[in-house]
Amino acid sequence: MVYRSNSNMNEKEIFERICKGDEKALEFLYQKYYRMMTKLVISNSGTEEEARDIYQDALVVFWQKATSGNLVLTSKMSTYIYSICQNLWRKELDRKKRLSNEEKDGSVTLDTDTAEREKIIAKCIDQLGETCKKVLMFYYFEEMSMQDIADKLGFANTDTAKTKKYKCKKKLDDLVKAQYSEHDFLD
Amino acid sequence: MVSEKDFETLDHYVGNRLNAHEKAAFEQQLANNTELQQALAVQEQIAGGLRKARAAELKQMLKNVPVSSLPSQPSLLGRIGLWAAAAGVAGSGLYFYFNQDDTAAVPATASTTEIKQDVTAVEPTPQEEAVQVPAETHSDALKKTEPVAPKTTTDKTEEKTAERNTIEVYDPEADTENSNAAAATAEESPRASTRSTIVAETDATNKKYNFHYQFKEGKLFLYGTFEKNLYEIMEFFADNKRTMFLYYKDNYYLLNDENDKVKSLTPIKDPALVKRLNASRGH
Repeated sequence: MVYRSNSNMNEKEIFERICKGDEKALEFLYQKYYRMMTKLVISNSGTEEEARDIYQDALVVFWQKATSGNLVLTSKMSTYIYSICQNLWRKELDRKKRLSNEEKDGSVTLDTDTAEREKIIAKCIDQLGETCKKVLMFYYFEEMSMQDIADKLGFANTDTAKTKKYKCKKKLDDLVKAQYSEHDFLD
Repeated sequence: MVSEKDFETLDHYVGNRLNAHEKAAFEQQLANNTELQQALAVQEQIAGGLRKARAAELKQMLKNVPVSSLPSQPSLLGRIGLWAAAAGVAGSGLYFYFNQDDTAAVPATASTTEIKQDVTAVEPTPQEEAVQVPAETHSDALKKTEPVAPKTTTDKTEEKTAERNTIEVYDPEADTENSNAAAATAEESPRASTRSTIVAETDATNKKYNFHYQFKEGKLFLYGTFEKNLYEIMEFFADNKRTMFLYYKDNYYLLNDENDKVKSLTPIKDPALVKRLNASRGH
Protein backbone atom coordinates (compact mmCIF):
# COMPACT_ATOMS: atom_id res chain seq x y z
CA MET A 1 0.00 0.00 0.00
CA VAL A 2 1.43 3.31 -0.96
CA TYR A 3 -1.19 5.71 0.30
CA ARG A 4 0.26 8.18 2.71
CA SER A 5 -1.87 10.95 4.01
CA ASN A 6 -0.79 14.23 5.53
CA SER A 7 -1.44 12.69 8.89
CA ASN A 8 2.15 11.58 8.83
CA MET A 9 3.17 15.20 9.37
CA ASN A 10 4.14 15.56 12.98
CA GLU A 11 3.27 18.39 15.38
CA LYS A 12 6.63 20.07 15.08
CA GLU A 13 6.54 20.06 11.32
CA ILE A 14 3.01 21.45 11.18
CA PHE A 15 3.87 24.19 13.65
CA GLU A 16 7.03 25.16 11.79
CA ARG A 17 5.17 25.31 8.53
CA ILE A 18 2.46 27.45 10.06
CA CYS A 19 5.03 29.81 11.54
CA LYS A 20 6.39 30.25 8.03
CA GLY A 21 2.94 31.17 6.78
CA ASP A 22 2.15 27.92 4.97
CA GLU A 23 -1.61 28.02 4.48
CA LYS A 24 -1.73 24.36 3.44
CA ALA A 25 -0.46 23.39 6.89
CA LEU A 26 -3.26 25.44 8.43
CA GLU A 27 -5.82 23.65 6.27
CA PHE A 28 -4.37 20.33 7.36
CA LEU A 29 -4.52 21.34 11.01
CA TYR A 30 -8.12 22.40 10.54
CA GLN A 31 -9.05 18.95 9.30
CA LYS A 32 -6.95 17.15 11.88
CA TYR A 33 -8.67 18.60 14.91
CA TYR A 34 -12.05 19.42 13.43
CA ARG A 35 -13.97 16.78 15.37
CA MET A 36 -12.27 17.41 18.67
CA MET A 37 -12.66 21.18 18.61
CA THR A 38 -16.20 21.34 17.29
CA LYS A 39 -17.32 18.80 19.83
CA LEU A 40 -16.32 21.18 22.60
CA VAL A 41 -18.92 23.69 21.44
CA ILE A 42 -21.55 21.15 20.44
CA SER A 43 -21.41 19.47 23.84
CA ASN A 44 -21.73 22.87 25.51
CA SER A 45 -25.06 23.91 24.00
CA GLY A 46 -23.74 25.11 20.65
CA THR A 47 -24.83 24.18 17.16
CA GLU A 48 -22.52 22.63 14.59
CA GLU A 49 -22.55 25.93 12.70
CA GLU A 50 -21.45 27.81 15.83
CA ALA A 51 -18.85 25.14 16.56
CA ARG A 52 -17.35 25.48 13.10
CA ASP A 53 -17.35 29.24 13.42
CA ILE A 54 -15.60 29.21 16.79
CA TYR A 55 -13.02 26.69 15.61
CA GLN A 56 -12.25 28.73 12.51
CA ASP A 57 -11.88 31.90 14.58
CA ALA A 58 -9.62 30.06 17.00
CA LEU A 59 -7.38 28.85 14.21
CA VAL A 60 -7.14 32.36 12.80
CA VAL A 61 -6.05 33.63 16.22
CA PHE A 62 -3.54 30.78 16.44
CA TRP A 63 -2.26 31.50 12.94
CA GLN A 64 -1.77 35.18 13.71
CA LYS A 65 0.18 34.43 16.86
CA ALA A 66 2.31 31.81 15.18
CA THR A 67 3.12 33.71 12.00
CA SER A 68 3.94 36.92 13.85
CA GLY A 69 6.42 35.08 16.06
CA ASN A 70 4.45 35.97 19.15
CA LEU A 71 3.88 32.44 20.25
CA VAL A 72 6.09 30.14 22.25
CA LEU A 73 4.33 26.83 22.52
CA THR A 74 4.69 25.26 25.92
CA SER A 75 1.98 22.70 25.36
CA LYS A 76 0.66 20.68 22.46
CA MET A 77 -0.83 22.68 19.64
CA SER A 78 -4.17 20.96 20.17
CA THR A 79 -4.18 21.98 23.83
CA TYR A 80 -3.48 25.57 22.92
CA ILE A 81 -6.10 25.70 20.18
CA TYR A 82 -8.57 23.95 22.44
CA SER A 83 -8.04 26.67 25.04
CA ILE A 84 -8.65 29.36 22.47
CA CYS A 85 -11.87 27.62 21.43
CA GLN A 86 -12.96 27.42 25.06
CA ASN A 87 -12.36 31.10 25.63
CA LEU A 88 -14.00 32.18 22.40
CA TRP A 89 -17.02 30.04 23.12
CA ARG A 90 -17.22 31.37 26.67
CA LYS A 91 -17.13 34.90 25.29
CA GLU A 92 -19.79 34.07 22.74
CA LEU A 93 -22.05 32.63 25.45
CA ASP A 94 -21.52 35.79 27.51
CA ARG A 95 -22.31 37.92 24.50
CA LYS A 96 -25.51 36.00 23.84
CA LYS A 97 -26.55 36.30 27.45
CA ARG A 98 -25.81 40.03 27.47
CA LEU A 99 -27.69 40.52 24.23
CA SER A 100 -30.71 38.69 25.54
CA ASN A 101 -30.67 40.80 28.74
CA GLU A 102 -30.32 43.99 26.75
CA GLU A 103 -33.22 42.97 24.56
CA LYS A 104 -35.30 42.39 27.67
CA ASP A 105 -34.31 45.80 29.04
CA GLY A 106 -34.71 47.46 25.66
CA SER A 107 -31.25 48.92 26.09
CA VAL A 108 -29.55 47.75 22.90
CA THR A 109 -26.94 50.31 21.91
CA LEU A 110 -25.30 50.46 18.53
CA ASP A 111 -22.10 52.34 17.91
CA THR A 112 -23.01 53.52 14.45
CA ASP A 113 -19.99 55.81 14.20
CA THR A 114 -17.50 52.98 14.65
CA ALA A 115 -19.48 50.72 12.35
CA GLU A 116 -19.51 53.42 9.68
CA ARG A 117 -15.75 53.92 9.93
CA GLU A 118 -15.17 50.18 9.65
CA LYS A 119 -17.37 50.07 6.58
CA ILE A 120 -15.43 52.88 4.96
CA ILE A 121 -12.10 51.21 5.61
CA ALA A 122 -13.32 47.86 4.29
CA LYS A 123 -14.52 49.60 1.14
CA CYS A 124 -11.17 51.35 0.70
CA ILE A 125 -9.26 48.08 1.18
CA ASP A 126 -11.42 46.54 -1.52
CA GLN A 127 -10.33 49.25 -3.91
CA LEU A 128 -6.69 48.21 -3.63
CA GLY A 129 -5.10 45.78 -6.05
CA GLU A 130 -4.54 42.19 -4.95
CA THR A 131 -0.79 42.59 -4.41
CA CYS A 132 -1.28 45.75 -2.38
CA LYS A 133 -3.84 44.01 -0.19
CA LYS A 134 -1.48 41.08 0.37
CA VAL A 135 1.50 43.27 1.20
CA LEU A 136 -0.45 45.26 3.76
CA MET A 137 -2.20 42.25 5.28
CA PHE A 138 1.08 40.35 5.63
CA TYR A 139 2.64 43.43 7.22
CA TYR A 140 -0.11 44.25 9.72
CA PHE A 141 -1.71 40.88 10.39
CA GLU A 142 1.02 38.28 10.05
CA GLU A 143 3.61 40.94 10.98
CA MET A 144 5.95 39.45 8.44
CA SER A 145 9.37 40.91 7.89
CA MET A 146 10.05 42.68 4.61
CA GLN A 147 12.24 39.74 3.62
CA ASP A 148 9.38 37.29 4.18
CA ILE A 149 6.97 39.51 2.28
CA ALA A 150 9.42 39.70 -0.61
CA ASP A 151 9.85 35.92 -0.60
CA LYS A 152 6.17 35.22 -0.34
CA LEU A 153 5.13 37.61 -3.07
CA GLY A 154 8.11 37.06 -5.35
CA PHE A 155 9.62 40.55 -5.07
CA ALA A 156 13.25 40.97 -6.09
CA ASN A 157 14.41 42.07 -2.62
CA THR A 158 13.41 43.74 0.62
CA ASP A 159 13.76 47.22 -0.88
CA THR A 160 11.12 46.37 -3.45
CA ALA A 161 8.87 45.05 -0.67
CA LYS A 162 9.45 48.23 1.38
CA THR A 163 8.65 50.51 -1.53
CA LYS A 164 5.57 48.51 -2.40
CA LYS A 165 4.37 48.58 1.17
CA TYR A 166 4.94 52.33 1.41
CA LYS A 167 3.06 53.06 -1.81
CA CYS A 168 0.18 50.75 -0.99
CA LYS A 169 -0.20 52.18 2.48
CA LYS A 170 -0.10 55.72 1.12
CA LYS A 171 -2.81 54.86 -1.34
CA LEU A 172 -4.98 53.33 1.37
CA ASP A 173 -4.42 56.28 3.71
CA ASP A 174 -5.43 58.70 0.97
CA LEU A 175 -8.56 56.73 0.14
CA VAL A 176 -9.57 56.56 3.79
CA LYS A 177 -8.83 60.23 4.45
CA ALA A 178 -10.91 61.28 1.45
CA GLN A 179 -13.84 59.19 2.66
CA TYR A 180 -13.42 60.32 6.28
CA SER A 181 -13.51 63.98 5.36
CA GLU A 182 -16.65 63.38 3.30
CA HIS A 183 -18.25 61.90 6.39
CA ASP A 184 -16.78 64.51 8.75
CA PHE A 185 -14.76 61.93 10.57
CA LEU A 186 -11.60 63.98 10.48
CA ASP A 187 -11.71 66.48 13.26
CA MET B 1 1.07 68.64 11.32
CA VAL B 2 2.67 65.28 12.02
CA SER B 3 6.18 65.11 10.63
CA GLU B 4 7.25 62.43 8.16
CA LYS B 5 9.54 60.91 10.76
CA ASP B 6 6.85 60.81 13.44
CA PHE B 7 4.45 59.30 10.99
CA GLU B 8 6.94 56.55 10.22
CA THR B 9 7.39 55.81 13.92
CA LEU B 10 3.62 55.87 14.29
CA ASP B 11 3.32 53.30 11.53
CA HIS B 12 5.89 51.08 13.21
CA TYR B 13 4.01 51.47 16.48
CA VAL B 14 0.73 50.42 14.89
CA GLY B 15 2.49 47.59 13.04
CA ASN B 16 3.98 46.37 16.32
CA ARG B 17 7.54 46.83 15.10
CA LEU B 18 8.99 48.87 17.96
CA ASN B 19 10.98 47.41 20.78
CA ALA B 20 9.98 48.12 24.37
CA HIS B 21 12.28 51.13 24.67
CA GLU B 22 11.15 52.74 21.39
CA LYS B 23 7.57 52.04 22.29
CA ALA B 24 7.84 53.75 25.66
CA ALA B 25 9.53 56.77 24.08
CA PHE B 26 6.83 57.03 21.45
CA GLU B 27 4.05 56.75 24.00
CA GLN B 28 5.62 59.57 25.97
CA GLN B 29 5.71 61.71 22.85
CA LEU B 30 2.13 60.74 22.12
CA ALA B 31 0.90 61.90 25.52
CA ASN B 32 1.82 65.51 24.74
CA ASN B 33 0.75 65.67 21.12
CA THR B 34 -2.94 65.74 20.23
CA GLU B 35 -2.28 65.76 16.51
CA LEU B 36 -0.26 62.62 16.85
CA GLN B 37 -3.04 61.08 18.92
CA GLN B 38 -5.56 61.81 16.19
CA ALA B 39 -3.26 60.38 13.54
CA LEU B 40 -2.78 57.30 15.70
CA ALA B 41 -6.53 56.80 16.01
CA VAL B 42 -6.93 56.81 12.23
CA GLN B 43 -3.94 54.54 11.68
CA GLU B 44 -5.21 52.07 14.23
CA GLN B 45 -8.55 51.97 12.50
CA ILE B 46 -6.84 51.31 9.17
CA ALA B 47 -4.58 48.61 10.57
CA GLY B 48 -7.58 47.14 12.36
CA GLY B 49 -9.48 47.05 9.08
CA LEU B 50 -6.59 45.27 7.36
CA ARG B 51 -6.36 42.71 10.15
CA LYS B 52 -10.07 42.13 10.04
CA ALA B 53 -9.98 41.69 6.27
CA ARG B 54 -7.12 39.19 6.50
CA ALA B 55 -8.85 37.26 9.28
CA ALA B 56 -11.98 37.08 7.14
CA GLU B 57 -9.92 35.88 4.19
CA LEU B 58 -8.31 33.10 6.25
CA LYS B 59 -11.66 32.13 7.67
CA GLN B 60 -13.12 31.88 4.21
CA MET B 61 -10.21 29.69 3.21
CA LEU B 62 -10.96 27.35 6.11
CA LYS B 63 -14.64 27.31 5.23
CA ASN B 64 -13.70 25.84 1.87
CA VAL B 65 -11.68 23.02 3.40
CA PRO B 66 -13.65 19.77 3.14
CA VAL B 67 -14.41 18.15 6.46
CA SER B 68 -16.61 15.23 7.24
CA SER B 69 -19.82 16.70 8.56
CA LEU B 70 -21.15 13.45 9.89
CA PRO B 71 -22.40 13.92 13.43
CA SER B 72 -20.79 12.05 16.28
CA GLN B 73 -22.75 9.20 17.72
CA PRO B 74 -22.82 9.07 21.48
CA SER B 75 -23.36 5.33 21.44
CA LEU B 76 -20.15 4.94 19.52
CA LEU B 77 -18.23 7.19 21.86
CA GLY B 78 -18.92 4.78 24.63
CA ARG B 79 -17.03 2.18 22.70
CA ILE B 80 -13.75 4.05 22.54
CA GLY B 81 -12.02 1.93 25.13
CA LEU B 82 -13.32 -1.20 23.52
CA TRP B 83 -12.09 -0.01 20.13
CA ALA B 84 -8.61 0.58 21.44
CA ALA B 85 -8.43 -2.78 23.16
CA ALA B 86 -10.17 -4.75 20.45
CA ALA B 87 -8.10 -3.09 17.78
CA GLY B 88 -4.99 -4.41 19.41
CA VAL B 89 -6.35 -7.93 19.38
CA ALA B 90 -7.71 -7.64 15.86
CA GLY B 91 -4.56 -5.91 14.72
CA SER B 92 -2.50 -8.86 15.78
CA GLY B 93 -4.97 -11.21 14.14
CA LEU B 94 -4.96 -9.23 10.95
CA TYR B 95 -1.23 -8.93 11.04
CA PHE B 96 -0.94 -12.70 11.04
CA TYR B 97 -3.71 -13.00 8.48
CA PHE B 98 -1.99 -10.71 6.00
CA ASN B 99 1.46 -11.98 6.73
CA GLN B 100 0.93 -15.70 6.76
CA ASP B 101 4.07 -16.28 4.70
CA ASP B 102 6.10 -14.25 7.07
CA THR B 103 5.04 -15.58 10.42
CA ALA B 104 8.58 -16.52 11.34
CA ALA B 105 9.36 -12.79 11.61
CA VAL B 106 7.05 -12.49 14.58
CA PRO B 107 7.52 -14.87 17.47
CA ALA B 108 4.60 -17.25 17.59
CA THR B 109 4.45 -16.77 21.32
CA ALA B 110 4.12 -13.02 21.16
CA SER B 111 1.51 -12.05 23.67
CA THR B 112 -1.50 -9.98 22.84
CA THR B 113 -0.28 -7.24 25.12
CA GLU B 114 2.93 -6.86 23.23
CA ILE B 115 1.22 -6.72 19.90
CA LYS B 116 -1.27 -4.23 21.26
CA GLN B 117 1.45 -1.70 21.81
CA ASP B 118 2.65 -1.92 18.26
CA VAL B 119 -0.43 -2.43 16.20
CA THR B 120 -3.36 -0.22 16.82
CA ALA B 121 -6.32 0.58 14.70
CA VAL B 122 -7.12 4.21 14.46
CA GLU B 123 -10.00 6.24 13.20
CA PRO B 124 -12.34 3.31 13.49
CA THR B 125 -15.11 5.23 11.88
CA PRO B 126 -15.48 8.60 10.20
CA GLN B 127 -18.31 9.34 12.56
CA GLU B 128 -15.90 9.20 15.43
CA GLU B 129 -13.54 11.97 16.34
CA ALA B 130 -9.97 11.82 15.21
CA VAL B 131 -9.07 12.45 18.79
CA GLN B 132 -11.44 11.33 21.44
CA VAL B 133 -12.18 13.49 24.43
CA PRO B 134 -14.76 12.55 27.01
CA ALA B 135 -17.66 14.97 26.79
CA GLU B 136 -17.87 15.55 30.50
CA THR B 137 -14.22 16.53 30.64
CA HIS B 138 -14.90 19.27 28.10
CA SER B 139 -17.87 20.40 29.98
CA ASP B 140 -16.08 20.47 33.30
CA ALA B 141 -13.10 22.24 31.87
CA LEU B 142 -15.33 24.85 30.37
CA LYS B 143 -17.23 25.46 33.53
CA LYS B 144 -14.85 24.96 36.40
CA THR B 145 -11.15 24.94 35.75
CA GLU B 146 -9.01 27.88 36.67
CA PRO B 147 -7.38 29.16 33.51
CA VAL B 148 -3.64 29.46 33.11
CA ALA B 149 -2.19 30.97 29.98
CA PRO B 150 0.37 29.21 27.84
CA LYS B 151 3.41 31.41 27.54
CA THR B 152 3.13 33.98 24.78
CA THR B 153 5.40 36.89 24.12
CA THR B 154 2.82 39.19 22.67
CA ASP B 155 2.31 42.75 23.70
CA LYS B 156 -0.35 43.60 21.20
CA THR B 157 -2.96 46.12 22.06
CA GLU B 158 -5.66 45.30 19.56
CA GLU B 159 -8.69 43.24 20.32
CA LYS B 160 -7.53 39.89 18.98
CA THR B 161 -6.84 38.71 22.48
CA ALA B 162 -9.43 36.06 22.91
CA GLU B 163 -6.98 33.79 24.69
CA ARG B 164 -5.41 36.49 26.87
CA ASN B 165 -4.62 35.24 30.34
CA THR B 166 -7.52 32.89 30.50
CA ILE B 167 -6.19 30.01 28.51
CA GLU B 168 -6.36 26.82 30.40
CA VAL B 169 -3.61 24.32 30.51
CA TYR B 170 -5.64 21.30 29.74
CA ASP B 171 -4.50 18.50 27.55
CA PRO B 172 -7.51 17.20 25.68
CA GLU B 173 -5.43 14.38 24.30
CA ALA B 174 -3.68 13.31 27.46
CA ASP B 175 -5.79 10.27 28.19
CA THR B 176 -6.77 8.89 24.88
CA GLU B 177 -4.86 10.53 22.10
CA ASN B 178 -1.50 9.30 20.98
CA SER B 179 -1.41 10.72 17.50
CA ASN B 180 1.48 13.05 18.14
CA ALA B 181 3.59 10.46 19.80
CA ALA B 182 2.68 8.01 17.09
CA ALA B 183 3.43 10.52 14.37
CA ALA B 184 6.72 11.44 15.94
CA THR B 185 7.78 7.83 16.18
CA ALA B 186 6.31 6.66 12.92
CA GLU B 187 9.70 6.34 11.36
CA GLU B 188 11.35 4.45 14.19
CA SER B 189 8.48 2.09 14.79
CA PRO B 190 7.35 0.64 11.48
CA ARG B 191 4.15 -0.72 12.87
CA ALA B 192 3.18 2.31 14.89
CA SER B 193 0.18 4.14 13.64
CA THR B 194 -0.87 7.71 13.25
CA ARG B 195 -4.36 8.99 13.57
CA SER B 196 -5.07 9.75 9.99
CA THR B 197 -8.22 11.53 9.10
CA ILE B 198 -9.90 9.80 6.23
CA VAL B 199 -12.45 12.15 4.84
CA ALA B 200 -15.30 10.14 3.42
CA GLU B 201 -17.96 11.51 1.15
CA THR B 202 -20.97 9.77 -0.22
CA ASP B 203 -22.39 10.34 -3.66
CA ALA B 204 -25.83 8.94 -4.36
CA THR B 205 -26.24 10.76 -7.65
CA ASN B 206 -23.82 8.82 -9.80
CA LYS B 207 -25.84 6.70 -12.21
CA LYS B 208 -22.93 4.57 -13.34
CA TYR B 209 -21.68 3.59 -9.92
CA ASN B 210 -24.22 2.45 -7.37
CA PHE B 211 -22.10 0.55 -4.85
CA HIS B 212 -18.54 1.55 -5.50
CA TYR B 213 -15.71 3.45 -3.94
CA GLN B 214 -12.77 5.55 -5.01
CA PHE B 215 -9.77 7.17 -3.36
CA LYS B 216 -9.24 10.53 -4.93
CA GLU B 217 -7.23 13.53 -3.74
CA GLY B 218 -6.78 11.94 -0.35
CA LYS B 219 -10.47 11.43 0.16
CA LEU B 220 -12.66 8.38 0.08
CA PHE B 221 -15.73 8.64 -2.11
CA LEU B 222 -18.52 6.16 -1.60
CA TYR B 223 -20.88 5.91 -4.54
CA GLY B 224 -24.36 4.64 -3.86
CA THR B 225 -27.18 5.24 -1.46
CA PHE B 226 -25.27 4.89 1.77
CA GLU B 227 -27.32 5.67 4.80
CA LYS B 228 -25.67 8.28 6.92
CA ASN B 229 -24.01 7.07 10.10
CA LEU B 230 -24.38 3.46 9.16
CA TYR B 231 -20.99 2.99 7.64
CA GLU B 232 -17.65 2.88 9.34
CA ILE B 233 -14.13 2.99 8.03
CA MET B 234 -11.61 0.79 9.81
CA GLU B 235 -7.90 1.22 9.47
CA PHE B 236 -5.21 -1.19 10.53
CA PHE B 237 -1.53 -0.58 10.45
CA ALA B 238 1.07 -3.29 10.23
CA ASP B 239 4.62 -3.23 8.87
CA ASN B 240 4.18 0.23 7.36
CA LYS B 241 1.11 -0.98 5.54
CA ARG B 242 -2.30 0.41 6.02
CA THR B 243 -5.27 -1.83 5.45
CA MET B 244 -8.71 -0.34 5.36
CA PHE B 245 -12.14 -1.83 5.53
CA LEU B 246 -15.59 -0.45 5.12
CA TYR B 247 -18.25 -1.77 7.42
CA TYR B 248 -21.74 -1.25 6.12
CA LYS B 249 -24.95 -3.05 7.02
CA ASP B 250 -23.38 -6.13 8.55
CA ASN B 251 -20.82 -6.61 5.80
CA TYR B 252 -17.15 -5.77 5.54
CA TYR B 253 -15.50 -4.58 2.35
CA LEU B 254 -11.80 -4.29 1.68
CA LEU B 255 -10.79 -0.79 0.55
CA ASN B 256 -7.84 -0.66 -1.77
CA ASP B 257 -6.26 2.77 -2.03
CA GLU B 258 -3.48 1.89 -4.44
CA ASN B 259 -4.85 4.08 -7.21
CA ASP B 260 -7.72 6.44 -7.82
CA LYS B 261 -9.80 4.06 -9.93
CA VAL B 262 -13.43 3.51 -9.06
CA LYS B 263 -13.82 0.02 -7.67
CA SER B 264 -16.88 -2.01 -6.82
CA LEU B 265 -17.53 -3.00 -3.23
CA THR B 266 -17.52 -6.73 -2.71
CA PRO B 267 -18.37 -8.16 0.70
CA ILE B 268 -15.69 -10.17 2.44
CA LYS B 269 -16.78 -13.81 2.70
CA ASP B 270 -13.83 -15.30 4.55
CA PRO B 271 -15.42 -16.26 7.90
CA ALA B 272 -12.09 -16.07 9.76
CA LEU B 273 -11.47 -12.50 8.64
CA VAL B 274 -15.06 -11.48 9.26
CA LYS B 275 -14.76 -12.91 12.76
CA ARG B 276 -11.62 -10.90 13.43
CA LEU B 277 -13.14 -7.74 12.07
CA ASN B 278 -16.21 -8.30 14.20
CA ALA B 279 -13.97 -8.70 17.20
CA SER B 280 -12.26 -5.41 16.46
CA ARG B 281 -15.62 -3.67 16.28
CA GLY B 282 -16.48 -5.02 19.71
CA HIS B 283 -19.06 -7.55 18.56
